[in-house]
Amino acid sequence: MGYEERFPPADMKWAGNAAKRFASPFVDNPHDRIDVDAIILSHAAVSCGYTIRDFYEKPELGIHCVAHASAMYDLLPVTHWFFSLPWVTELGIKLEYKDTLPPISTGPILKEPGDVDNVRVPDKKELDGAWTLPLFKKLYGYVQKNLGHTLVPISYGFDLVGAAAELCGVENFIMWTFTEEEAAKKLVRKYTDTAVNGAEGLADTYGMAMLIVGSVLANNDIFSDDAVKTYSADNMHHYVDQCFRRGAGPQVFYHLCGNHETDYKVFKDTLMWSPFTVIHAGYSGRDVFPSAKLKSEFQDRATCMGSVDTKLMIDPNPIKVYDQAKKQLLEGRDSKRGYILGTSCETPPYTIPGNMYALTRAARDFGTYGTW
Amino acid sequence: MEVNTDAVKELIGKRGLKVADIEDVIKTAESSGKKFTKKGTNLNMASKRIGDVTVYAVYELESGILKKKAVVKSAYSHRVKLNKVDHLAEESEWMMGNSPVHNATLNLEYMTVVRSGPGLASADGSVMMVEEYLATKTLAAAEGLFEKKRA
Repeated sequence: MGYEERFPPADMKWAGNAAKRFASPFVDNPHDRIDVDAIILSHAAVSCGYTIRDFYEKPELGIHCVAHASAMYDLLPVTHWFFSLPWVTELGIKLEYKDTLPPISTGPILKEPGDVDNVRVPDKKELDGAWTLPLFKKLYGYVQKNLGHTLVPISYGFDLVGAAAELCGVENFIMWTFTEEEAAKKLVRKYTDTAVNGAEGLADTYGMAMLIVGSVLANNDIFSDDAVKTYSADNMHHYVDQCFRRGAGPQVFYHLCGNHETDYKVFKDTLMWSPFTVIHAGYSGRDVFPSAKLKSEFQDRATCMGSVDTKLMIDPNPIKVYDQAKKQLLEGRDSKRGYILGTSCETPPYTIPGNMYALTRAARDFGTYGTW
Repeated sequence: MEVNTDAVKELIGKRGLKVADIEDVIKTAESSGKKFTKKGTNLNMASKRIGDVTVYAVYELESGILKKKAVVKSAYSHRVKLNKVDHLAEESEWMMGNSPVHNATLNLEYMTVVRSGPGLASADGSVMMVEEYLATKTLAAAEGLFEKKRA
């Protein structure tokens, strides 16, 4: 029995409305209300009775759960499935599935800075015969066949710095950024170029590929603003530029995860912007990143995606979610190029459904187009 | 000015362009000086808004006995309108006369929707262009998405 047989047929009436709503911020065509993207991943599996491990180990099941849960919660109608370490297996890392986590690296890691020179960037053809690219092609093949109305082929550069750091161990990498800068820079660029080749491989199949790339490890908890620019923003630019040259894009989602209290300023004039770009920021210090600041910095470049703190999504106080969502909506809803309400990162696996309802309820109460 | 399109006639047809428009683009650029030249080469890029389309010619100049000859290497177009420069970034591999041309974030418009996109701009922002890969891949896909999402 295929995974598709475990789910009822898609609610196409909902999907049609959700698709129009999703398009709103990109084409200045307001429909319904501001959309909600809770970055739902393994919570989708949990909400359908499966496990976190199921979500990652069985991608087709996982993505069908995302489609089902998105309709259930009235979220953005795009099916996405990913984990934070694409392309690392192609660079020598082994991944292990866990019961309560996304796949984690078990090494082997590069031990010496000089080892970076031995890392070879696999080309598109090699990636096609490796692990990550075939996994995503198979996954989107499933979506095309069973959930075609939700298909957006997405290639994940994801966390260029964080994934590169896994190749030598995160602690080593952070140390290298102080003591072995050239090796650290070279390592991030080699990971980035691998991700570019992967995006090209996906674009070859689908004629386009949305790009998701973030600055996660590179944030103000660890790095200075200058280091965030050098290691992260400059490589994010390189990633998108190279992907565009090879036919991937034009949709881009920039995910500034973690604390971007002051380094957010390095992104506006460093990143490459396309007509279909969303930028999302998680935190400013320990607090959720204010949508007013997000709007002020980025509304002339992209659609802004504000955040509700993911910690609140597992706090049995739906009113806290509602109130924070309200505050963010009031600050960000009139962003020039549109606004999406999100959570500060992936909504936790055991997100309380009542909190998810509070999120979308706030979007309806304070984000219905034509009411402000 | 003689314009030779022999090598790209098929491409011009495939992309729905007209030879007369390509000639117009080149002649206008050569008379106004509003063209970009790749550093250290004889390769030029010029564009002109013709109707609802911006038409580009990429060409090399050859000096003839009586007049110059432009040999067209490529031609392409986009429907998105380039409104103004949002941000000038680092210098590119192109020059306009003796001035560097910059990579830039441009303010683009299509179907009344204004958004940002990458491109090239002269230092004073008066001349903006988009290289072939961006026009034929990124912007072409973006135009398709605008049309689909606006429908």
